[in-house]
Amino acid sequence: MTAFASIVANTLRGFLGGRRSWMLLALALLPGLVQLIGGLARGSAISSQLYEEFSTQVLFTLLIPAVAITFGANAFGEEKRGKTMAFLTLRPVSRWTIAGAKLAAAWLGASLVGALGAVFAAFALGVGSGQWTEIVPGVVGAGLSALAYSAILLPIGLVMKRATLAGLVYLLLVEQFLARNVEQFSNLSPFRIGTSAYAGLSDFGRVVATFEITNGAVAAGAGGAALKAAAVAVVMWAITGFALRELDLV
Amino acid sequence: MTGRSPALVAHPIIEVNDVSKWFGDKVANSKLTCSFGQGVTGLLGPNGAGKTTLLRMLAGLTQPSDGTITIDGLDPRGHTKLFERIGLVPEEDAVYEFLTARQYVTYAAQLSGLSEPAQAAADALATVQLAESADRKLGEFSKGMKQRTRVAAAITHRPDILILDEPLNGTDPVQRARLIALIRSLAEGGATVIVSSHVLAEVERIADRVLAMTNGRLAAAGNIEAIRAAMTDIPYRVRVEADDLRALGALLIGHPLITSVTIDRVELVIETNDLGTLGRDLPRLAIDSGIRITRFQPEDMSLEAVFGYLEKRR
Repeated sequence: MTAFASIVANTLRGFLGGRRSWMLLALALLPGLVQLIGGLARGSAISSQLYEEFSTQVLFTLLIPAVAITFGANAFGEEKRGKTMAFLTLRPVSRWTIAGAKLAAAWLGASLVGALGAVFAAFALGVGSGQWTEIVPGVVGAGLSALAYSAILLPIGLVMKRATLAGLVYLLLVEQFLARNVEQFSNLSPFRIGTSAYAGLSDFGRVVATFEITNGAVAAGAGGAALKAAAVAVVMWAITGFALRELDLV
Repeated sequence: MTGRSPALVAHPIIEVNDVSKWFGDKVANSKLTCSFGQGVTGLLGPNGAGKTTLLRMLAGLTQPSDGTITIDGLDPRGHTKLFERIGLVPEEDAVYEFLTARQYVTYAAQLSGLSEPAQAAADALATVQLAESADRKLGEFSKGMKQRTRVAAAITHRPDILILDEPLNGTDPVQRARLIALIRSLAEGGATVIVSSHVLAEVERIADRVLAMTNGRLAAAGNIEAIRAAMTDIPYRVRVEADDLRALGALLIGHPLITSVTIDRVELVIETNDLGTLGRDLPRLAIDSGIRITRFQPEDMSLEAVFGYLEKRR
């Protein structure tokens, strides 16, 4: 196993082991479960309404940011708290490889949980309303949003002492305030990257319309969203690698 | 005579040149110049002396605020390839508690780029006598077992530079003896080993050479006896038992070698700046005066005493 793969595997093992994995699983299944129960009890229209107003909102505004903070901000945050940075960095592995592996692990973890939530919600929609088209948009949107979130939160977790708190501050300040009011931030907002990808792939008109309203000037489209997510990831990977080279690591 | 400072070795692997490190207003290390070669060097000092900061800089984990550190001429911070040669056991009691000892050491071997990490991990765990506990989670380990696991992870790639920060912390006497033997054997195999400790007896048992630090500075360097001998401004203290203490005391008062004489119940406590001459002259003086000396014991050759002096001198 290469050093890159070892770091990814060990980071994921730390993230997904024990009680936390059950909590993340519960969080991922929550929107789909609510929708499944509501849809089965009250019919197709209610199921669609729940999907639009509850499941997708919980997915993109709560679940993915929460797992991205857990994985992105803590990819290095847990090494620092656990005082294992020396173990990780005192190896013949380039700082860029370490940064890349941590980003990959954070993205994989966040995407896995986010995609699970998206698939379950889309499945619940299919069961409740017969609309079976939303699995792929949900997974792609969740994956791209998770990539952008994880990448942004990765260096924050490296340089800040309270990584989770710093992640929450980022969400409130940038996502809730700047991205709503400043177009440049809006284009690179992980929330909008995910929802614009979803809107670009979905055939479900009412959800697409909702996301288009929320996203404002950010155009729907999976290709553009993927490019933005990739650009954010590359820039943040470079910043993280540079910080690993230049900062005191313990 | 080469005139070389005792802080420097003839064939250095690691060179520390005028290194200072500060964190805001706090100075952790101040203008350190020293070098390390093959064998065991003990880095000795009380807590807060700056040992850990120096070791972190040697390993490239922390950047000096001023000065340079090189390993075979290369800056460890800019050359990750050097880490193929370095093993570090940091002071912190830190492991990935969700891993087993085997997984932990295998991970270390994988990160070190070994071709057979599982075998290397098994060998390293056997070396620290943890083969039987290798598949237990590290979270279940005692402090001493975690420490041995960390040592295994540090030696799994067979480094020729080993940096150990308080490596014997938490180990019981048997484990301690084994770790000391292991450290000694690595040094005898040609490795450059640097061991820090604030426990004086440990360093005496492990190290060939000592760098003593206080308040972020190098206070003394060399072997223990050489450090003590270099402190000419501080008198040696000798306890002497004789059949007539008062007569011997009276004889020594005013003697040019003696700086003070006191009677402490059944013995004389003599302070001198020239222990060697006193050791030769005192028996003759006593015989000439018909006094029989039954014990002559320099009391301050332990590291504890050396450190007391170093602290006072600062």
